[in-house]
Amino acid sequence: MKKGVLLLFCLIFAFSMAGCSNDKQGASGTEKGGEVQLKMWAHQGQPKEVDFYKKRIDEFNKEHKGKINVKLDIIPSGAGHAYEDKINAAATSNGLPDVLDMDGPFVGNYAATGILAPIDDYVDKKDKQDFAKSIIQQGTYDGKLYALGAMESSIAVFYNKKLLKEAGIQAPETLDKAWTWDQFMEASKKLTKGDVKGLTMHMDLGVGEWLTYMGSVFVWSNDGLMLNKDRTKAEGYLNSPESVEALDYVKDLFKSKVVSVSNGPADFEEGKAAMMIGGVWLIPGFEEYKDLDWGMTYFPYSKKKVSPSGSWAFGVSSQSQHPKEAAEVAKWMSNKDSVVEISKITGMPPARESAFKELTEYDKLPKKIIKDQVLNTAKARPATPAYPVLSAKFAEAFQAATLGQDVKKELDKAAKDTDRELERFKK
Amino acid sequence: MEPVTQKTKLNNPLPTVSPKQRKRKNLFTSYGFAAPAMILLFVFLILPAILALYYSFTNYYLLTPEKTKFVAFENYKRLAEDTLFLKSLGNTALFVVIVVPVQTLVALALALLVNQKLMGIKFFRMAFFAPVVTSMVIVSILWTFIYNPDNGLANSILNIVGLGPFQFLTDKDQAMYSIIFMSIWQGAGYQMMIFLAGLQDIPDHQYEAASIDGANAWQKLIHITIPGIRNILAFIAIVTMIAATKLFIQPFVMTQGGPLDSTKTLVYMVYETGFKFRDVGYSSAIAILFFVIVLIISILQRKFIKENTE
Repeated sequence: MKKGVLLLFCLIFAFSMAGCSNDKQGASGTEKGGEVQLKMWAHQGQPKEVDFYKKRIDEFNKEHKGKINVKLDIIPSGAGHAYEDKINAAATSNGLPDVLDMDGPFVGNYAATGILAPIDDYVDKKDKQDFAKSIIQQGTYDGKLYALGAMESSIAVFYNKKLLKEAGIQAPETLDKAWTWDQFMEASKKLTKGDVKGLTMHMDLGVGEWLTYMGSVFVWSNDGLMLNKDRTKAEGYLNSPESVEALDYVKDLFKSKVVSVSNGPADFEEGKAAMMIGGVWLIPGFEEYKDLDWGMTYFPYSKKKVSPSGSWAFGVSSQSQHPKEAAEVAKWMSNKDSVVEISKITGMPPARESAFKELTEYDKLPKKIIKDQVLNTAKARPATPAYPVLSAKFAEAFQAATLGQDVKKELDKAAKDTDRELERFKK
Repeated sequence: MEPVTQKTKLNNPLPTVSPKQRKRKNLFTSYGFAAPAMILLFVFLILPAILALYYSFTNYYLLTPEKTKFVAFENYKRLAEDTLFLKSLGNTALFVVIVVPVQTLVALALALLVNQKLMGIKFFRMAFFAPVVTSMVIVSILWTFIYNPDNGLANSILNIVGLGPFQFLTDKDQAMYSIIFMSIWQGAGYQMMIFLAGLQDIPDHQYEAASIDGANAWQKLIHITIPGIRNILAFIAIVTMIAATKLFIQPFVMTQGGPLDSTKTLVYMVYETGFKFRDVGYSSAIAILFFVIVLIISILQRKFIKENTE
């Protein structure tokens, strides 16, 4: 009887210990019969995107049979920070996979804190030049390359052709004729009629990265900055008169009721909003709306023509025991074949110039708009270790602007919090 | 058991055990049985609490644990000047102060309603309990749709009565109350079930005797029902209070603490600081202060209720 109890204890312990050690082994790469076993995480994007990741990894495994085998886990990302939370938790418990998929602006933070390993040694210099400049910028921290992306991204103004025609509005079709803020405001006002709003800015996505990704462009376009050139200070930049003026413009949009803070997720597609400031990744979803006749135009500007940039990219974790093989996976996921294919699937602009040549739809409207923006006006979010705080605080200030609050006060607060966070990394 | 024969007794004499030894053996057995639970409690509850206390005196950044340094009371000093912390504390207090009494009363009312012996009453018991067994995340997402100011159910219904439209979650003055209403709707069923169990323990003859004495329904409620479930009432008040202070999922899913921090709660701030901003040191300091506050309230509540019941 007593022996039985003791045995039970031993069993419980054995199982719990086995559980722990299994996790650890899997996380840092193991070898099985000469074949390097790697783990990889990718975020759960749209279903087609997830299918692409799975398919590409399957192909990689077939191609590298006997040498490298990758096990892919799809991690839900949600509207909030679920995916980042997962990486943070794994980083502290030595549970990171070998290959990581991460959102572009977070590369700086992960590189500064040593979560990522530099991959310069494994990337061919000539091949590197094929990538869009913004993609190399987002993957570079402190002069070293940490991540390669397959996709670039952009935000455009989408419009409902029927509603614009009814209102007698012609949307710009070349970059030199892009709408100014005033023209954009005017068009939005004209298009707001009864239940139909002139514009939706996807406030349904919550107070998160979307607001910073989209909102920062207003600041830059007005000659404002989020941080100084060295990326060591926010005070006097994030809350400069130019930045305040930019968010005041956003505030005016909401104040004049041409755009709502409580829009539904598909107001544009359903014809409840005539225009949409939306990500280009929404394009494949338009197919489901047969009645929708849509067009696309440039992000409106104030003093400078700027457009958003940055997307998910692949890097190698510093915990990996096989960085060379892991880098192979990152390179595979961002090689020309991958770039062309994922671009076709997601509607995201490709991350390589050679891919642009192959995707001829980018030579004519509406997708010409995206190509023009990516190659001429794209600006990456600042690669700073303080990015998580900067992004969250800016998003809160942006939301405050949409709710008609005092913009200066909110940006002062954001600058103060960002500067305190920057202090942490000045050592 | 086999009867002990003379033979076995000779070959295998019973060991002589002193009472002291037996006591020690019993102790070993009882601790042995408690061990799995105690180990789990220690690893997942006590140890993290001790670590949080330690981290609150350091500058531990989630991604660079090797650079952690002791900073004494710096985090607590920062806490004293942090307006966001005060705001979160206020928001949490508002939630607790409204939810604890209202939810308890609603649950009691529901329990009294479904305690009647009527046809199909089981259906209502189930209906009131259904939100409790639904995941809070799902409930929160559903209510985000209900609360949509333009095409949500809530405004449609209120419109019939001639009220609204309300902004609900997108208005800083309404967001917390919207969450409070939805939380009471979700949670009341749980307390109702406990009340129901208590109500069914009150013997029928007490009510019969009261009826004979000419007591009306109100007098029966005050003089029989309430005293009969006094202990349960105390239990529910404490449990609801502790659960209410931990408000997190609703603002996390529905508002992300906004608009303008109006639904930021203490636990949300702990999460945001520790995970989103990776500032474990400061996050731990908030958690420790939160713990102290809940502890004090619990002690006061216990004392108050004990005095009342004695």
